[in-house]
Amino acid sequence: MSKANVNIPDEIGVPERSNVRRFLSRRALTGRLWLTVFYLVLVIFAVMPIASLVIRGFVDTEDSRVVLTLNAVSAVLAEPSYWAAMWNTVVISIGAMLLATVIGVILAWCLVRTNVPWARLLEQLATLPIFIPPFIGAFAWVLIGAPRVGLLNLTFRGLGAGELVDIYTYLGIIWTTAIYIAPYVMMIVAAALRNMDPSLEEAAQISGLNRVRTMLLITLPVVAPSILSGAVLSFVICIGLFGTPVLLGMTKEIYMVTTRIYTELQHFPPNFGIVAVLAIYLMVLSVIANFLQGWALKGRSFVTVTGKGFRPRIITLASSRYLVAAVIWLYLVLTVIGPVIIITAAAFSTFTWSGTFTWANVTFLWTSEDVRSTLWNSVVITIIAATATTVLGFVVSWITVRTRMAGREILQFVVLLPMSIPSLAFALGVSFFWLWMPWSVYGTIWIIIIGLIGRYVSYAVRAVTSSLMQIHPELEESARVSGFGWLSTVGRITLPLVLPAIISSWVMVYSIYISELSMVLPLYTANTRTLSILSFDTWAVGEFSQVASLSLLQLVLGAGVMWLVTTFTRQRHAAAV
Amino acid sequence: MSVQVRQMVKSFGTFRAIDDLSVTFQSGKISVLLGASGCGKTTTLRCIAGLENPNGGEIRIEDEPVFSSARGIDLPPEKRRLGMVFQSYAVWPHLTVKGNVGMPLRAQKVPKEQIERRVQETLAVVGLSEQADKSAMKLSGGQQQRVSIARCLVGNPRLILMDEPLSNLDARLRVEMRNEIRQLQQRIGATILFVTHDQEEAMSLADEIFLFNKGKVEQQGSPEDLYFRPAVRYVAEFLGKANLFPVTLRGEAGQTAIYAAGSDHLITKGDIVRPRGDEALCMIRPESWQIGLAEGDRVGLPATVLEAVFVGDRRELHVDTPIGRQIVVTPGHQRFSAGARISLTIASQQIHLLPDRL
Repeated sequence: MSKANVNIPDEIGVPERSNVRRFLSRRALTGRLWLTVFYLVLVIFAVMPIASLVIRGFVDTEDSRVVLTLNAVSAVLAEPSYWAAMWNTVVISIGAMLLATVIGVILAWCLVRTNVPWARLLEQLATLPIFIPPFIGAFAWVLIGAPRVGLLNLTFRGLGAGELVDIYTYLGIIWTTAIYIAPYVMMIVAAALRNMDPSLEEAAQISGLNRVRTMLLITLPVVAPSILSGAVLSFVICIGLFGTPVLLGMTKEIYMVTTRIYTELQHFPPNFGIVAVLAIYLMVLSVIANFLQGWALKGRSFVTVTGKGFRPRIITLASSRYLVAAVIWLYLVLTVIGPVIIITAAAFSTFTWSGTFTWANVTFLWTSEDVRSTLWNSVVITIIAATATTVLGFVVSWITVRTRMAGREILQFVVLLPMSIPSLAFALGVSFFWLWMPWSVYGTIWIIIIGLIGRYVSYAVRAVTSSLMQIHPELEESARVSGFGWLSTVGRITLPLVLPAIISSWVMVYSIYISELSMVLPLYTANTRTLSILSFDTWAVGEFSQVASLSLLQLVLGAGVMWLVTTFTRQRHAAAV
Repeated sequence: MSVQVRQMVKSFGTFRAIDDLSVTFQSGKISVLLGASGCGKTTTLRCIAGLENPNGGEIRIEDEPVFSSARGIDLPPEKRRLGMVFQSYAVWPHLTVKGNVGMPLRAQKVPKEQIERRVQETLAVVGLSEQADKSAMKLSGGQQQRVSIARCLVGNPRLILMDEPLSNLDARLRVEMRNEIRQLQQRIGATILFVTHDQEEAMSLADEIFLFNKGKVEQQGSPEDLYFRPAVRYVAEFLGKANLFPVTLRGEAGQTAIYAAGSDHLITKGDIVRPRGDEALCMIRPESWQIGLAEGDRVGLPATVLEAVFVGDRRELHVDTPIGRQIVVTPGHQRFSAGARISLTIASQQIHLLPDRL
């Protein structure tokens, strides 16, 4: 026996060996079966919409026969207004990207590298603009900067300065877009500045570089890859935005591709071929941006060996630290505080800036049948979709991080694929796919839920994966060795440990879903309208005061619930510690 | 080029990292700042570099005050004209080897052609001429450390600071780099302050060791001084292994007899430097004990081997004696088994006496 142990290849007999193989393959088989089922679900949710979109751009039905055609493509290429929309998308997105990057980098640098008072709190506050839905942010800026009726112009006119601001312009759209996506850049760059080995800067100073040259020659180049990532992210978000360009661009006919898709959908019957080609254009743009980023970053991953944990030297500003703080507060006033105050004021006015106050727009929230039904739809869709997204996200990250199952890399790829596809384009793909399917999912809330899950499951995967990677596999392995099966190991060990990440990923997708407009737009029908669609329709008929009260309701549902959940879980966390 | 630190204090919150430190590091020598973690050695180095601000005191480099709380002087690091090698190498990842090494010259606004020439010369010194145009990130750890040393040398700094530069390297490379640093220093006669927690590194590298403890220098001196003639118990125990026990001194100066305290066991007799008083702490290094094998031998201390640990080149014996447990080190080829009876003797020159209370 002992000899057999020492010399396995020679001593083990053939039947024994095949025994081993059968045993292994049974375990692998169950694993593979599960993975296949799972893989199919994800492919239907995440990949089929994209595939359907691409196919829809190149096929048409002729005499009830499906044929391959370039009709839609040539129709789009022949029409100058489509070219204008593509041009606008590129110009506005690049403009917003540049402005957002400048704002984001400055914010990050001030918050991480100077002794600005209350830096930690300010940094948390400075991420808030992300949670203002684009539609609501743009609406607030209509109230602030619209010609004639905008708050700023009213003030300027009162001072005898005339009309100085017009938000319905390229600059207006770029400004409004950029200030709301700047926090993405800020977060990425701030993390890079924090993770940078402080001795890189110290070595520069020792070498004789002063502060300014250290920043220009060392700090900025070292965090440049992160700045680029932030910039590309803002560009990709911007090309897919719908709420901002529709509110600010349509008045003076500045169409972007997303708003062009929307107007195409309003025609009856809509030309789905053209819509699909326009959406494919957005996809291609996003792919190009990501490709360029990958190309620029090739071999430039600046991961450095870090030494002792000395804090990076903070630049001590004298009284100018209060000036820096004031600038950050100004940013918050422009993006969050001002808009919320203005929307609140508008919600209580008979019409915009009339100076006459009324409760009518607020009581409308609980008297209107429309509000009641759309609110119900929104809440049901959001809770089901957010929960499903999080569960799916956990399973995907568990498989990719913890198992050695074949095909798990493909799984991850499948999930991450929709990440760079603009929501509107993805939703169009979802609608095409389910229209082709024999089941009548189209027209129910389920198609909206399926669309949201497919588009955003990657967010949950990322959040949970990063947390799961920090939990050492030995924690699970020791549970297995102690006699727990894998399911109870996951239940008793893994889940409790990643619970904070699961909760925060639920809250994150919840806050996206509750006010999502562009995903829902191609998928809703009369019975499945959501709150965001109701606000949009109300805006379209010009009831600005009601839009204001509906926006307030959405902000309360989004930010309010987020705040409640985080406070509650944090308390629980504190109690557990 | 000497570095003088006077009455320096540095606190982090309530923690006093450096406690009224006054010390002088000699020019043209390698001074090693040695100590356990949290003893203030790295903080001292960073204060000299200007990367940390002391709460009080004075630092002079070549008699030029670079920091003085009394006179309100605080030169920023870039004005102190130093070179520094960091534990993490701190090689700038976005630059080539040449770009890294040339940076101090660029900071001094040296003309381009001169930069090129001096960078090449310095790279030749550290043996990296071949890698000049490579991205710094493509180099191995040892090569990155050479880049970091070249960058530190290129501007001919008046003082070189090294903050645990070898602790991220593997053991073999560490010894190799240690010798290279030693040779380099002898060639260019630079003044080097070298921080480490590794006593072997400290002893093999230092002209003078400064042993730090709780924000102060416990003892400074040559490696041999510190090893064989520690001033206090902490130093004796920090460097290597030491047998320490209280003794009573009898007899005249020049012919002192040393007895284990509270017993009649004569340890040794001879011309011994004695501290004040008749009570002292005796230190004997484990390798200084001589082993006599004869049982019943009247000379020396009777001992029983409790444990014999074989460590390759040597064997560590834990023995029980009337004056307590002792550690004895013998060459590895001498075999002992537990329970063996031996006797221990010691030459009077091998004994070091410390004042009793420290």
